[in-house]
Amino acid sequence: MMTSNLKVDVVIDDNVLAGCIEGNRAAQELLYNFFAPKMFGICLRYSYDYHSAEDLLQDGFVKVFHNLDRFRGDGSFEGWLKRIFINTAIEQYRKNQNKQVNPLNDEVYKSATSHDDVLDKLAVDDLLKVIQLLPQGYRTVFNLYVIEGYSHKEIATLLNISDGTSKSQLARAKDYIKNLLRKIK
Amino acid sequence: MKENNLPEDLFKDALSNLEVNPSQKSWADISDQLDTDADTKIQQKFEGFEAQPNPEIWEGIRTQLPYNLRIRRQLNWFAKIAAVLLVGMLFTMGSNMLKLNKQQNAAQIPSPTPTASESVETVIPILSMEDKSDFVFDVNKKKEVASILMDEEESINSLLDFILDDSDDIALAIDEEIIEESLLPADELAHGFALVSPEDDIEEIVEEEIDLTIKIPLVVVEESEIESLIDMYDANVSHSVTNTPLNK
Repeated sequence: MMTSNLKVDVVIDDNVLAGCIEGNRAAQELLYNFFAPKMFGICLRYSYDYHSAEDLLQDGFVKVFHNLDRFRGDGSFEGWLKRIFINTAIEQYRKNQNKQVNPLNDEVYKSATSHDDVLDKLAVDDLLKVIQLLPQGYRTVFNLYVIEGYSHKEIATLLNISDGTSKSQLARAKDYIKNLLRKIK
Repeated sequence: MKENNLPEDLFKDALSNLEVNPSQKSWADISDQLDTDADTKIQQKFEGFEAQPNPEIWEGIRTQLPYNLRIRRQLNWFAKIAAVLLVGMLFTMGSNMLKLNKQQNAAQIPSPTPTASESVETVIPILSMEDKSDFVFDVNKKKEVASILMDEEESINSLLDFILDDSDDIALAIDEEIIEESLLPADELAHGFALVSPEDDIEEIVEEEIDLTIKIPLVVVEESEIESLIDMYDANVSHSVTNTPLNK
């Protein structure tokens, strides 16, 4: 579906970064073309649909180009980019926190079954659809814990919630996914 | 039917249908393990996941891009410094205005009127001559000056009396040369004579109500003398007219 088979044979080195800082449009476009597919993958995981993921991608790259001179080169550039996009997604979560409505009934979580075999059969795009169906709070915690590898303590700090809330949100997210996978099976 | 009497068979019969409820912890451990496995599988599936965004996204980003971050940062610094200076300047101006207002308010507050029971000792400073200005009226000094002028006025009076005294022979006191000279135009006067205009001090004397009596004597002159005086005057006037250049 959206997975890119196009591989850009370029090297993002210091010259490209310097060009981006000096406002060179060609360098900026090169950097965007190189990293956009990877970052869009992240945006899709944190968004509920394709269009909101596009908005997130745009906001993230604008933030990257405005703060590119602050990259010290301590870690990998891709890791730095990734953090910016995750933080942008978290900002979006905070903005929508008050508007969040939980559409799920607690009863659906109780029927948990093993879903390993289903997971094996599912393509990543299908799994993405399942994640996008999660409410924003669950989706954010699920992404941060399961995919990014943050601890509950770190998630609590990032989202300004308690450890317990982070744990319960993750448990509910998993139950919700299991329920959906059971229906698919 | 075949009977099983061997001990193995007895064990088999006894344990084949054995059921024992496991502890709750056992299932929790298994569940966690399953979850962890699922997490790992999901994590692995999304590892290196990429998606090609719509090309129009770049157009949206490009319109919001800065031209040069370094220049922008420097401009930001200058703007911050300018803002700090402006705030400082406004603060200084504001504090000065406040001080000025306080001073004006203090000047406008009337001093409390002392009651009859209170004795207030007021010390009025006596100003020296150097301190005297247009706005300070030194009464003592004024009186002193006025008395000097009055003395001078007395001497003027006595002089006038001397000059205009009837008892004196004016014809003897004023000889013809003096009369002749007094009739000359002012610009032809000899050295030592000058037109004197009254000074401001004289006006002050008038303001101080000093009596100045001017006695105008009646001199009896004969007709022949008058005619000779008129002739002399006419001669002097014509002389001065003829001597005066036209283009002067």
